[in-house]
Amino acid sequence: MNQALEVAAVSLRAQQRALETVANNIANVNTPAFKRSDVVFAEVIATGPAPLTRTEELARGSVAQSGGVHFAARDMISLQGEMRPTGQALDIAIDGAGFIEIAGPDGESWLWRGGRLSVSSAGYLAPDGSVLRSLIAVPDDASELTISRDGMVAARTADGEQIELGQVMLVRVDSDANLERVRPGMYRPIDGARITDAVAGEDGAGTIEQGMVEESNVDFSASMVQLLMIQRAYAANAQVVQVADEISSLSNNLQR
Amino acid sequence: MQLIEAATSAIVEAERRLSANSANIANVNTPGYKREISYSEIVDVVSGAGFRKSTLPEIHTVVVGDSSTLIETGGRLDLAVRGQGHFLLRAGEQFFLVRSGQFTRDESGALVDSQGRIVQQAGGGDLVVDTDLPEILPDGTVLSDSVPVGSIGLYLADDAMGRNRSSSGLSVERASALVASDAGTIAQGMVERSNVTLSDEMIGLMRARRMAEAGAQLVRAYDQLMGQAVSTFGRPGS
Repeated sequence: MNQALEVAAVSLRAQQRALETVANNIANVNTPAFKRSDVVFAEVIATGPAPLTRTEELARGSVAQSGGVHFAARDMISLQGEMRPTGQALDIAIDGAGFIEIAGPDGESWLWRGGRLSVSSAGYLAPDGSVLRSLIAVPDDASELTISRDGMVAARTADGEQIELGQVMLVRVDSDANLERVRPGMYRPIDGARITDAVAGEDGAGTIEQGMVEESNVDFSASMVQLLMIQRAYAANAQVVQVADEISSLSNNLQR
Repeated sequence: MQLIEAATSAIVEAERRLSANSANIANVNTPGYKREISYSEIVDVVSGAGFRKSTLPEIHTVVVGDSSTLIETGGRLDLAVRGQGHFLLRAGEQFFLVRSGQFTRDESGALVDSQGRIVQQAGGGDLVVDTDLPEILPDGTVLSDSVPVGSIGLYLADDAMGRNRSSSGLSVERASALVASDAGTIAQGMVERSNVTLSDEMIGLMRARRMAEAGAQLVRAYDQLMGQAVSTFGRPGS
C-alpha cells in the first residue's frame, strides 16, 4: 500500500514537471532562436539497504522494486531552427553550428545565436545591451551595411567608397552539456568548458546570414500530442492513488 | 484460526498486486520499460501426519520482457534495438542492459542516459562522440561527419537476466561474460515504447480493490463469529 502510494506520488510529480516543460515549449513556438527542451522519462529502481539476514534476502524476492518514473529535460540546443527572411539589414542568424561571442555582465563570455544588431552610442556594432567580442566600429557616415556569410562586415562611406569594418567570428563548444541558458537566445559556458574559435563557414561552423532570423525549433504538433499523453498518464497515476487510498482505508477500518 | 490468515493473505496479496500495477502505470510512457506482472501459486505446507495444512497462496512478481513497437522521435541520440540484443550501460563498477533510451552527451562527450550511465562500445570501453549530431548505422558504427568514431555494442541477455530487474546491475565479471548479439540492429531516431497496456493495469487496479474488500469482509465475519462465540460461551452460568 505504502509503496504504491509513493510510486504514484513520485510519478505524479514527474508528469507535472514534464507538463511544465512542454508548456514552455509551446509558449515559445514563435520565439526567434528558441531551443526546445525534450521530455525524457526513465524508470527509477528503488534501492534499499542491503539485507541483513539470509531470511530477509530470500523474502525480498528476485525482482528489485520499482520506485516510479524519473523525468529529465533534454535541451536541444544544437538542433537548427528554420531560417526566415525579415528584410532588416541588421538582423543576423547563424545557419549551422556555432555561436557569436558577446560580453555578458562582469565581462564574462556569453554565447549568442543571433538576432537584431544595432549601432551602440560608442559607435560599435552590438546586440542591444551588450557588446560583441569581435569589436566592429561603424563610422558615423557609413550606410548600406553588409555582412557576408563568412562574417565580413562592410559599409559604404559618404564618398561612395566600400570599406571593410571587420569580421564577426564564431565560437564552438564541445557539447550542449557545456552550456547553460541565461537569457532567451543567450548561453553561458559552464566552468571549465572549452570554447574554440572558428571562422564562419569553415571547419563545420555555420554561416552568418544577414536579414534572416532563426525560428524556434519547437515541433508544434508533436508537443500537442505530448500534452495529451502526459494528461493520460497523470490521470492513470491519480487512479492508483485513489485505489491505494481505498485499500488502506479498508485495512484501517478492519478494527472498528 | 486459518480463516483470519486467509483473510489477511487476501489483503496482502491485493497490496502486492497494486504495487506491480502502480509501477507499470508510473512507467506507461517510459521508453524501454518492461512491465511487471504478479501471479500467485499455492504452496503446500504438509503437517507431520501428511495432511495438507495450509493452502495459502504465495505471490511472485516477474518482469515480462516482450518487445514493443518502436516509435519515431527524430532525436539523433534516441536509440532502440530491432531484433535481439540490449545496449550495455556502465555506472561506476556496475553494468546495466537496456533496450532503448534517449541519450545525451555529457561534458566530456561520452554518450549517457538521463541517469548518467555511459553507453559501452562493442568490445568494451565508454563511447565518446565529438558531435551532438552523429549518424549511427544499424550495425552500431557511429559516424561523425562520415568518419567512424566508434561502435555501439549489442549484447544478449540470458533468460534470468531478462526476467529480473536488478537494482545493483551486473558486476564487471558478469558483464565481460556477456555474449554479443548478431541478431539485432540499432535504429537511430526511434525509441521502444513501454509494453504497458493501460487497460490491463486499470483492470488490475479494480481486481486489487475487490480482493482487498473481500479480505476485509472475511475479517469482519470472523470477528463477528468470534465475538458471538466468546460472549455466548463466556457468559457465566450458561
